[in-house]
Amino acid sequence: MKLQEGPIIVIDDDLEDLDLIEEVLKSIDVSNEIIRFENGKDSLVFLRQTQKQPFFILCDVNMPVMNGFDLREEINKDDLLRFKAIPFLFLSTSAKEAEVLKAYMLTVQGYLKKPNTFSEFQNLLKDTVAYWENCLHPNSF
Amino acid sequence: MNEGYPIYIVDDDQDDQEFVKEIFGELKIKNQLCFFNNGKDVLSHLKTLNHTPFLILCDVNIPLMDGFELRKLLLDDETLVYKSVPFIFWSNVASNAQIKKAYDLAVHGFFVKGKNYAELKTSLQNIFAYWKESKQPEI
Repeated sequence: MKLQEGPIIVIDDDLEDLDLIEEVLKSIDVSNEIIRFENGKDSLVFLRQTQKQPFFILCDVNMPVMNGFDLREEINKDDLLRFKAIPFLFLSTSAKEAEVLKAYMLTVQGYLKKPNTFSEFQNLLKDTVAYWENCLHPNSF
Repeated sequence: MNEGYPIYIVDDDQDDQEFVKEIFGELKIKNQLCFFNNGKDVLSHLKTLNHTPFLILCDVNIPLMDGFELRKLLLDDETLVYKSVPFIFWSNVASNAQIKKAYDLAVHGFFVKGKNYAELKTSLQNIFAYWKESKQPEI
């Protein structure tokens, strides 16, 4: 399966946000499967056992059980997941300097701020999907 | 944010440098463009700045030190400030081994330049749009 056809993993403890992200992705004709998790730990369990090559991960920062930073750290420590090199993007309402810096120290591929309007959200995710669609990836052959 | 800071283009191909200049003009991108023919010049220029660039677009095959070596030096720099600058490879051709190596070095993207001017333009427009949206720490 080509990378671009893989599922998009969305991790957010706010169910309304999960619905919104899914709605935005569908409204811009993204046909990839969308797999949702409400905390980092559940997504980690999935990522470790799945045969699929996800297209990219959209992850909230502040979540119970396991937050986004801890999830990123676990992925970095995991040989198999590091090998899969899934683009990891934070998507958060908060983008404080210290958080953004911490994210980049964990070598993420982007830090997106949740926009205020639906159309801004559409534009953001359109740019994001286009970028990763055009991007070469070790598992895209 | 860093989005007004310069964009570094590291590429020893003069034609590609010209295309980039022209396309960024057409796209009305206001950031200063800094061109470098090799990685060594990038390193010495970075040391003179009191802020980091908006992003670095780097060819894989460049003289003196290749793109991978440059990336590794920036990633391992003891000040860590360059870790948060989007580092994007672009190349005319790319082998899977090169792409794998790039991701091992935690790059922020790997693009082919495109077969023609229009493809190059679309690709640059897309790269710029994404990083304009993505937040970066102000350093």
